[in-house]
Amino acid sequence: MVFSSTLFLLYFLPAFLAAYLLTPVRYRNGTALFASLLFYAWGAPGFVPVVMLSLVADFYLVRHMAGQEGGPRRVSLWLSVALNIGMLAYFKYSNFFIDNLNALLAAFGGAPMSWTEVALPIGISFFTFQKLSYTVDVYRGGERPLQRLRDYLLYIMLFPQLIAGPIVRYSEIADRLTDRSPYETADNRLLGLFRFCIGLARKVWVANTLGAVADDVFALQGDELTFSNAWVGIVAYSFQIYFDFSGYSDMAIGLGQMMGFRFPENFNNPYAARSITDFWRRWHITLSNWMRDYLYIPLGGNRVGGFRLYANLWAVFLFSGLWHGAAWNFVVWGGFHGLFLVADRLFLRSLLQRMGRVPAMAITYVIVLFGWVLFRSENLVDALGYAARMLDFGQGWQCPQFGTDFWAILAVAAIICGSGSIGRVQRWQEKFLLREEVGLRGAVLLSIASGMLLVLCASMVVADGFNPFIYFRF
Amino acid sequence: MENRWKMMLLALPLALLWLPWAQQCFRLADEWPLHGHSEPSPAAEFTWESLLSGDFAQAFEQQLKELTGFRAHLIRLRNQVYFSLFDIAKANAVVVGKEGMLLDVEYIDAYYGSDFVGQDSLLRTMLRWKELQDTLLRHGTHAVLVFAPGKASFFPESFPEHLRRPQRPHTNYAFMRHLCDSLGVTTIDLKAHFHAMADTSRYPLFTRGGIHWSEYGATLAQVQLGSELGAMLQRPLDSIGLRIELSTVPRGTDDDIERGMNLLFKLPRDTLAYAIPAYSKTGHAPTLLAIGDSYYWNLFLNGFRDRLCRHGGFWYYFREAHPNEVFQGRNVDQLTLREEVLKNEVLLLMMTEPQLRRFGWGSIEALHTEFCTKKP
Repeated sequence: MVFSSTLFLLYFLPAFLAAYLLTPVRYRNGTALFASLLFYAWGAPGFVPVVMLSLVADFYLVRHMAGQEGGPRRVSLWLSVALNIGMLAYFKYSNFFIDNLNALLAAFGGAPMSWTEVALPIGISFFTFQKLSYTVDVYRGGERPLQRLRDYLLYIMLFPQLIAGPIVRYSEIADRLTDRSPYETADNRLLGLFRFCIGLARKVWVANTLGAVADDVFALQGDELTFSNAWVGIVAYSFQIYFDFSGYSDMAIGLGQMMGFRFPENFNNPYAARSITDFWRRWHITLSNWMRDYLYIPLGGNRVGGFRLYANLWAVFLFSGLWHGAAWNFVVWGGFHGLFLVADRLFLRSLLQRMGRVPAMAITYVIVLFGWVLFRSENLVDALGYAARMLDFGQGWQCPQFGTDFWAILAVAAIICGSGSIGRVQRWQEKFLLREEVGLRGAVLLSIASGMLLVLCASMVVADGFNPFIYFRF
Repeated sequence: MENRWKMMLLALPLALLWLPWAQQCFRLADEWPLHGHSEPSPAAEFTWESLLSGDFAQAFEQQLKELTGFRAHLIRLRNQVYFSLFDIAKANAVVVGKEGMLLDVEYIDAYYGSDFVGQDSLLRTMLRWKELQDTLLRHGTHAVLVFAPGKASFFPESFPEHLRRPQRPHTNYAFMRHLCDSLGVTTIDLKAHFHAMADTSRYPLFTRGGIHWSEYGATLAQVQLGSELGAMLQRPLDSIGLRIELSTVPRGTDDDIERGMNLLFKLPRDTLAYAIPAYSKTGHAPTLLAIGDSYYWNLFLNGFRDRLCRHGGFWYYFREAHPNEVFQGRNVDQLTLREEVLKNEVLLLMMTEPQLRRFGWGSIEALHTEFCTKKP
């Protein structure tokens, strides 16, 4: 079930909100858990037993670990890590591994291994990382383990952030898991609803419109893909992925806020970044933080120097690329960003700083665009072909013929992203996003704006796919 | 007190989420029907396999979308936003041209020759038709090819910029006309007739919001057809007097594109003319069978088949057979072609420009096989 579907928006969500708000406070976790299980089961009923089994096993393993010291504590830690990484490796990467092994065997004239492809449980990348963060935080002594299985299940399976994040660290919502009644206010619910509506609009109005054109451009073959098309296509994709992903995060954060949770922010005007280092402080922030705290720092972090630091940085990003998808182009994408992060440390960031704000932003954006080519393409060969077309300046610029809706929404997206570089706008955003109270006048504005956005977004969601012929065509 | 107000302000937008569900269950308000043709989703079939594979969920969601309360209103809202903000029609193959002229992309392609099927294909087709024409004449049936005018060829200046392109060397219409003249195929060129009238016609031959010729234009086409058929049969048909009614409320197909766009608000209205025919009842009324596209409906429903002609049948796209009382609800493939065709003095094959590439929807081949290839 996706948030931008008729089923979720006009059936699941109103039913859940009514059930949740009418449930007595002490039973609300149960209601939220039941709804979350239903949400997950709708999309992937076959995986529910597997996921539940792993959650139950992890819960008791971590609780057992919390009561141990020294060696046994470490063993429990590694058991939990192995369980989680093992599940992720099996479900997400085994097909990739076998495909590559078979390619290698074929290259040496060997017979391929027979293998039944494994299906991927929805959201496994996200909830695996959440489970790992819980395990490690408890191991490090920073947090006490949850006493009730129900609360742990709710932490992992809570439907707003289950499928696509943000990756919520246990420490970030530990207190609100067990008692969030001070935060379940009309103010928070209004703010949360508005945030949800903003996210929905970003997804259905901006991301989907730009994505349709990006898909068309990336499907072009040979000479059909011109220099101009290639640039417009990748710019469209850059906004599509941003508005899609950040829109989803907004919806998750908004829904969480309506329930009294405070999920972490996941994006901070990433296309206003002035270096790749800056970009990764603004893009998928919860993933970057996770990688930093659970991978980069344990590898040595900034405490090591020279070659080892750069190798660690690059390795973390290779792993990050692989986390995004089981294909070589994702790995290369991660490595591409890792290289620029190393370059930033060596010389690039100071060079960009000297160039000034706007040139630094422009250059960083172009680097990110080439990275998105790797991310979006079906494979490395296609990615190289696409990038080559982007560099084919000899073709000259010829404005591609796309619809007025595309150009208008592209302009709106560019203005929204560009305005994020303005200090005043950033400060206003931060102030608004951190609010948990609103005055009566503000509440009126939020109510009207939410209502209008809901209707407009519902129209897009319900109308999606309805494109009739004037007459029946034989 | 303030908190109570905030709870109410929260409840208002949340109530909007409940409205479609309430409408679906309790029919709170009448919904405007949606126009145009789209295939309904197949029913979601529940099996354990389909549940586990996710197929059931997908099919169920699609079906649910079509049953959602206020769906028509929400679709119209989406369509209106796209039309008002971006000049985009959310209907298949429809484009919004300059000055609000609504056009079908296929007609624009036909105008530029982008759908040209090739000289060889057209020559083969026209040779078959010529042979069929000659064979049918020996049986006493006149086969006539009618070129109906496509809207786009009358308003090329209205094409949106992104659909303009260089004219191709050949169009299906121009090449077929040339072949008809060379081979001696009997034709009635209503497209040329309309072009000749375009600058002098008192009333619109095409409406802004319609795909077809206007109802007024269709009546003029009827008059012209009657005149040319009479000359061909050497027996004049009824003369037709026209009484003109003016209206800003579109009738018949004069706003079929606009309706198919499913907007919230009506488009600005032009004054349209409706020519009410009066038949002299003094002329010959031939039995006539027409094979045609949707342009023929304007003639079929407005006196051509049962006033100007006699027992006029209409094989719509060579698939559906109309009227019911003549063909007893059968489709064309259930009829005996030879028997049905030979009942008629005239066999009319009428096509508009974008349909020319479809060679009469298989009718030319089927009839040629029946009359010219098959042994009786």
